[in-house]
Amino acid sequence: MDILKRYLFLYTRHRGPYFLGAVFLIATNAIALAIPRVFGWAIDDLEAGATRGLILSYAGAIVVLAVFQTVMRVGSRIFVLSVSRRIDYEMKGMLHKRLIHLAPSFFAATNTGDLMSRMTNDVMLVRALGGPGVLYFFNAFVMYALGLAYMVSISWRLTLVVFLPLPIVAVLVRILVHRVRDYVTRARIALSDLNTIVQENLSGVMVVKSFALEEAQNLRFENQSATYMDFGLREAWTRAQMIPVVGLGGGLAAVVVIGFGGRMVSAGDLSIGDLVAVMSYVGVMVMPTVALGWILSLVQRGAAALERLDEVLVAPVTISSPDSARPIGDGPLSVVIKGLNFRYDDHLRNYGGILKLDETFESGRRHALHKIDFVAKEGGYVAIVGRVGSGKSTLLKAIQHLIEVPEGSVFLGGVDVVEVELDELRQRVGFVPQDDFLFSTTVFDNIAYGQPDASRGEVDTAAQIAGLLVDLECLPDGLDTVVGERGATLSGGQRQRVAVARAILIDSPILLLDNALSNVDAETERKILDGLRANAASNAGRTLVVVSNRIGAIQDADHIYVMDEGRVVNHGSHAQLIQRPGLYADMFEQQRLSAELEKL
Amino acid sequence: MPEGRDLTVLRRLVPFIRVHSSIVVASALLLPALAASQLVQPYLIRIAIDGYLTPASRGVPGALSGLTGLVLLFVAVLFGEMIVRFAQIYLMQLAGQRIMHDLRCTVFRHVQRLSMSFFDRYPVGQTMTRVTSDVEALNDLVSQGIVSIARDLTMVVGIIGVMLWVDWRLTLASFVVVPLLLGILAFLRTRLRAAYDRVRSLVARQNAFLQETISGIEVVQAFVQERRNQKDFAKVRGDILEIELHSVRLSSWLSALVQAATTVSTALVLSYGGFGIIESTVTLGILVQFMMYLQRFYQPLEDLSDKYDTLQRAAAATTKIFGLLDVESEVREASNMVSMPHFRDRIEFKSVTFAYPSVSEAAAAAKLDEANIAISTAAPVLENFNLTIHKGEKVAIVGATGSGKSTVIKLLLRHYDVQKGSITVDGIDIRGMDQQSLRRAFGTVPQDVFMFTDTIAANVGLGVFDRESIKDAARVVEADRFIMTLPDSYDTRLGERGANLSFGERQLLAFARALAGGPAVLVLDEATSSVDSETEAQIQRALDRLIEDRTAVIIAHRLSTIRNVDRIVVLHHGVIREVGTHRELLDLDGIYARLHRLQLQEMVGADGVT
Repeated sequence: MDILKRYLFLYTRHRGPYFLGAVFLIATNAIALAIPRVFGWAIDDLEAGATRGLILSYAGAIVVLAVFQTVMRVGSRIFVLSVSRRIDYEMKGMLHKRLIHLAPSFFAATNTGDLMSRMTNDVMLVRALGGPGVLYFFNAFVMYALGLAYMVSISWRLTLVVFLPLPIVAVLVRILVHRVRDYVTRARIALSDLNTIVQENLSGVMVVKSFALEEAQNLRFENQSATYMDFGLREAWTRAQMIPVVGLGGGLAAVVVIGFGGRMVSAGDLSIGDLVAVMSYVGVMVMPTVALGWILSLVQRGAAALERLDEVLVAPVTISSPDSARPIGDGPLSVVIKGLNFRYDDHLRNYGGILKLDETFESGRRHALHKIDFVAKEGGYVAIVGRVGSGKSTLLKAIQHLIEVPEGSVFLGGVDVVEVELDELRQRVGFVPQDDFLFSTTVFDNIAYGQPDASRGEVDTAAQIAGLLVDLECLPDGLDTVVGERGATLSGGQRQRVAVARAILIDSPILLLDNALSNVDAETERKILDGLRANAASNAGRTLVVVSNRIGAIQDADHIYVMDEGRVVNHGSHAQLIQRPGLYADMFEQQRLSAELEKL
Repeated sequence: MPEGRDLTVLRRLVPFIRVHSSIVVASALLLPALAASQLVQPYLIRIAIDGYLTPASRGVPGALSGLTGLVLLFVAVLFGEMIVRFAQIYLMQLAGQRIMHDLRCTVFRHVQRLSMSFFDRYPVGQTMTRVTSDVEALNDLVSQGIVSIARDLTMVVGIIGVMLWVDWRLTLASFVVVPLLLGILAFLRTRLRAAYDRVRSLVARQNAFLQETISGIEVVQAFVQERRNQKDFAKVRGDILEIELHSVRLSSWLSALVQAATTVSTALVLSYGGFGIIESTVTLGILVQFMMYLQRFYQPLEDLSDKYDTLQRAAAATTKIFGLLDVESEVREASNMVSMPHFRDRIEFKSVTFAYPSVSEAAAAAKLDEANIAISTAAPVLENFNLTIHKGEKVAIVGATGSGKSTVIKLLLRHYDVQKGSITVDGIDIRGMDQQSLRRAFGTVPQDVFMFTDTIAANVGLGVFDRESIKDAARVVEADRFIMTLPDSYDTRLGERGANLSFGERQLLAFARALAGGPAVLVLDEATSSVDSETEAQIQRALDRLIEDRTAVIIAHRLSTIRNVDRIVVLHHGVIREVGTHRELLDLDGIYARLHRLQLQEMVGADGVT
């Protein structure tokens, strides 16, 4: 419950509307309880022989009260429930603000589905706590306080007797709620096992089909589905008991009223009107009693949701701008890396409970860098080659400061990246990631992503350099074609070139390409790279760092770094590297043979 | 969500509900009992008041014992109601849960019958959602939607009936406000529903935006668009907030007006009934009885818009589920199929041509818009492919990536059907055979060495082979050595996808699995993973023992593993280019020789750096 204290501000921030909501709620409940009272008086007067005029004035009073009650009730609901919607709005804003500034390592450590579920389901629970939770809690509280007062004023003896069954009901409800929760948990586990069966069945479909295991799988699924159903039914069985218990509580109270109150009426200690009024009070007080059990579970679930949201909100922002930044200037920039060591899993541990643990070891191994020395001169063209998982992409991310590089290891134009304002740094470094991610807007918006106010002409030029012009003519709306989710309506090669155009447009002095043209044929890749260099020359020298798996595409680079298992194992020009036995020469030979095989 | 609009899709659930109709009917039969017991309670109170509590009746002898009897009767009715209520709710849950179970199993069984092309196209996550979450979404419909609507209707009709019977004039007087209320409710509810629809579509957009931001976070950060992203997100959230506040206002009025109607009706009963009492046409008891009925009458009106929401969500889920159930298997069972006979002589591929279905065809065939892009080429993978494998022969098929070699065994196992030509076993076309009997005759080692989260024994025996065959098979491929070192030997549980085993160990288990059924023919699609030389040697030894004295078809990625086979078939771009033994093919100096050199290069390369 400590978590509730820490996030209390979410709710107390809205104390104004809550206060007004509470005032309205007290008013509406006071009226709701006054109505049975008036009704009771009317009955007593009827019994004593009232006139039509008196009855009409009682009825009129009730109608007037009803109007007030309606207005108050609307007010109370609007005030309190609106706060819950605002909490939803604010909570999502807080979460998003955090997410957007977290380093990519955070996203490597978590999975999207889990984050999405926190942002939707958990926020919903937090919201329910601030809306219906607060509303019904107030309601129960006010109802009890006012109802008791009214009843005591009528007859304290009857009140005492009537309330005897209610605590028993509350206790029974509490017990049932516990058991229901237990079954819910077990049903969840059964469901998750069921999911695993489906998932394994689908992932291992080749085994299932090849060994004709369909029937065995069906049985396995049916068994687990039955187990799951079983817990669902037990839950339903327990939950269904809650209704009789609650109803019984209310009913017993009514019985007590009639039995005990009836005797009081017979003895002349109580009027019939009073008896009817008390009966109505019991009716309206049963629901709040039940609601208390429900509110309790809302609080528990809300607290659990806050815990999960807290994991996102306190996740450390591991890459941020320094307090006193150093500018890196407007001119051409060099890239220098000195003895850079980096391991992903060192940083993953920061994220605590949100981490999907099984992934850490693997990714830690895959994305390590060891003692990297690297130089790209101003306006130079440097290539990096190596096998999959050799650390090439990680190296590019280091230049962008997208990974947590240590101080004194990566320098742009002689300035340590950790001393540079992040916005400035990233504006000065264009980047085409390996994953050709596009947003589900138009081609134009995607190309202009880094510079939303770009003109049509600028976007056209970028598209032309990226070799997109011919493709644009084939698209239904040219630049205004909507690319679909993740760019699904474009081919892989087109997506990659849109991503290249996007980086060209921001016209940065450094441009990084991470295997960005792998889905384009080798000939076109080379042409685009040439175009980038030609375009760069006219812009007072753009430093080009290209990662590629294809040696043919990058052999014109000024300097080539060869990476393997997170280390630079060789570097030099193409002519030099093919002379040296090693990975580069082997890759070159392999690619030559493969190309030859292709042609056969 | 336009797919949820059409509620007629819910009709397709009828067959599933009908199976459990006895439970549904039993539950429905309890409804009148439930209504009756609720209607009787106010009546009893009326008798109590009129018979024993009014000044006139107070003095009557025996009034007190009469009241006690009445109280006992009231308690009895109450107990009756609770039991009926409990039974009714539980029965409905029982029906709901059983229907869900049936539907889940039907969907799962259906998916099991689909051929490989389905699995190529639909992402695992999507199919999982159909089988579990979408089915789950229907639970609300069955257990809360349908029945509670029926319950509310019975109640409302019952109350009106009894009230009319007791005093029709007083009834009409108390319902004067109902037409007005219904009019206002209809007005509010239409607007509320429109607001909910809008919230739903905005929330869908908000979630898509979030998902995209998370997936594209590197692009967002690399292009310094954090602020813009935040602004865009705030805009979507703001739109949602605005419409949410609007719907809060509407729903607040809705619930307050229902309550107001109850109160105003009470006032009407009081005045009209009060006049009746003065004229002695109505008793005090009736007045109280009516007042109690009114409270039960208005409550159901309030929840109706929630019910509509439930129905819509159920309709959306039903559409998705039946969309999947409508997908048909592309490999069809022949009408007069035979079991695969005992393998005697030969397997023949005759002029086989095959292309994977293209995406658009696939999407059209599946009638589902979420078709995943899996195979984008409609160009033939195999063209005029001819191959005869005799009993006892070991044939290896090699070729560069994309040459079509893995397709050969997928066709042989009938994961796909050939488009031209035929595949026969001992002269019988496999399209006329029972798929399961065909596949059981083959011992298969698929390329992806998949392990279930289960014990070693279960992974080798797959729940079909006995313990002895499992152990024998493990011994033959020498998997027993490492198995015996495990804490529970054959009963050791594997982690997800066999995570606690090395690649080599998993490969050996896959070999044992293929062998355990005592297959007539072994079919091996070698894993592409690169392995260290020790593992390689271990796998090589196991493979040699595996295919010893057996008919075997091996799709080889590492040429080193197949030097000793009888025949090597070289596939290139879907066409057989070379056939011969290892020696013959090297001497030919064609594609095989080049592939061989390429692999030698790779190995040298690997050794060169480590």
